[in-house]
Amino acid sequence: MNNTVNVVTLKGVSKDYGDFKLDDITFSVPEGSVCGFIGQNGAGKTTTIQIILDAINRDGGEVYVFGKSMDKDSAAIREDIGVVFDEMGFHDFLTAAQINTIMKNIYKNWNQETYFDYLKRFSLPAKKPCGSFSRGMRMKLQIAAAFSHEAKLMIMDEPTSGLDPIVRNEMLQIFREFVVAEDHTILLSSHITGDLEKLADEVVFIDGGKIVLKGNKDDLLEKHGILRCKKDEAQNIEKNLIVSAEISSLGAEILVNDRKAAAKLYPQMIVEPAGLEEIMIYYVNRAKNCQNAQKAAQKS
Amino acid sequence: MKGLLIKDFFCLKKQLINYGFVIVGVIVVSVLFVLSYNFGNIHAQFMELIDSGESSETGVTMIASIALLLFMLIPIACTGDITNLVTDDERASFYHVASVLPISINKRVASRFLAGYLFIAIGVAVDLLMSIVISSLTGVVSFTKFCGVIISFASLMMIYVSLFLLLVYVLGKGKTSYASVTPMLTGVVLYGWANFDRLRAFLIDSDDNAFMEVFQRTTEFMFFKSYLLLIAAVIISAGAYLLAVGIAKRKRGVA
Repeated sequence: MNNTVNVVTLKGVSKDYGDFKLDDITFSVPEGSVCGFIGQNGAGKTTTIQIILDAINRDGGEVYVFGKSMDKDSAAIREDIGVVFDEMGFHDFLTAAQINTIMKNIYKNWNQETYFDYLKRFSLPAKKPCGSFSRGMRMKLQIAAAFSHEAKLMIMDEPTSGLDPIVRNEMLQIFREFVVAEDHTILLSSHITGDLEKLADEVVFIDGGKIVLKGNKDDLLEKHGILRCKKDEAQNIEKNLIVSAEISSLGAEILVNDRKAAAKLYPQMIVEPAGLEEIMIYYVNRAKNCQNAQKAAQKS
Repeated sequence: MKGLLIKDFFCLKKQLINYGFVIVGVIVVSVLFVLSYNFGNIHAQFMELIDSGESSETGVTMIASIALLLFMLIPIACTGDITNLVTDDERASFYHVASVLPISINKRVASRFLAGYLFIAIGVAVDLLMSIVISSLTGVVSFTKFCGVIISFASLMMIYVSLFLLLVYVLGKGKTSYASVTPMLTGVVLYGWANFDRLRAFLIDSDDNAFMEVFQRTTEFMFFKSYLLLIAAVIISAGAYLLAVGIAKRKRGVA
């Protein structure tokens, strides 16, 4: 029996902007996990997040958060969700203290002690307009606000992009603390795979508005591998194993979806573990190749 | 919703110094005007006009009334202009934050409208103070008549704010200037259309009486029938709010 409780569930979600389409997005985020939502810029991460939060209308599908449909009372459900965007969203002339006054009149569970503790921890001045803050300070301010209303689910859209490694590391530490403390859940969108490799339990990979890969991060890393061989040997590799390949005059590098099987079948070849970044790149290349093949077929 | 209103008041606070200068300036100038009208240069000038037969006592009283009514318009127009609120939110991308707060669309839209009306209320309070001072110094316009004028101006500003906000939702982000200008232009056109004959007589036939007649009709309306404007303002505001909520729900991400 599966006892996993899903905090976020998306079933067949779609959204058509004309020039971009989210198509049949289906995935779940288990309670107590960190789910990395990976994809290149423009893949549909932000749109999906906005749909989860019911900030934009969707064309089809269902969204459940904490087991409740977001169609019914999304405003009440958002009480328990902390959100961090890649841009701050607060007015430049507002001070951190003023943001506290605003937020304590919005969130029922707003804890100003926690908020000011975070400000202290991040060395953020409470009475200085946030327009004068650096990018790192702005992100910290957002995080302080998101973490101060006893949210059970944290949804973060590219929170670490554009930050220096020290600040990024500090952020990741805070996210870890959040998940360890209680059965809290994080959905973290990023194109910085290194962060997710360190933090995520689950991974959902989106490309061109479609989910191309999802599952437990360790399982995915365990399964996938980079097979290196000579150019002419590449043709002999079983098609079912190949995600996509990069072939150059020096040889071939192939992402295989079953590292152990590949190592068994081709003991003379080198099969190395693949990182999330490599997996992402190869899956994107596969999608591009498919699109090119479809276009070529349509032309002919 | 209270939090959003507080946020709007922080935005207003930023402009408070400007408002303060304008409001204090208007109060000082209007009191000086009244004093001068009663005892100073303006009084002397008006007496000259009456003595030379260029104007009558009614004429100069009307000119003084025009000036005083314009003074009344400034505080309400100044505080009721919420264009900056909307542009500030756009500049900060506050819409992203607002759309993920635990506040329903109805309440988000309502807070916008409420903020506009509360700002008008600040102008009304200043106007009431001014009218008490001015009416105690001169009999040109009585306090009761001033109240009619204040209700009229406040109603007009309510209509402006409602239509402006409705247009903000209709036109979407980045079109605030169009949303701001359109209700004003519509108001001017409607006013011109309602007084077309007299305004034409004034502008083309240089009939000064025609202008006076327009002014007289307008002031009479404000003095004694301001409740009609207030009723219209309430109806338009309710309609604009309901439409704005519908549009904000349909165009989620805008509100």
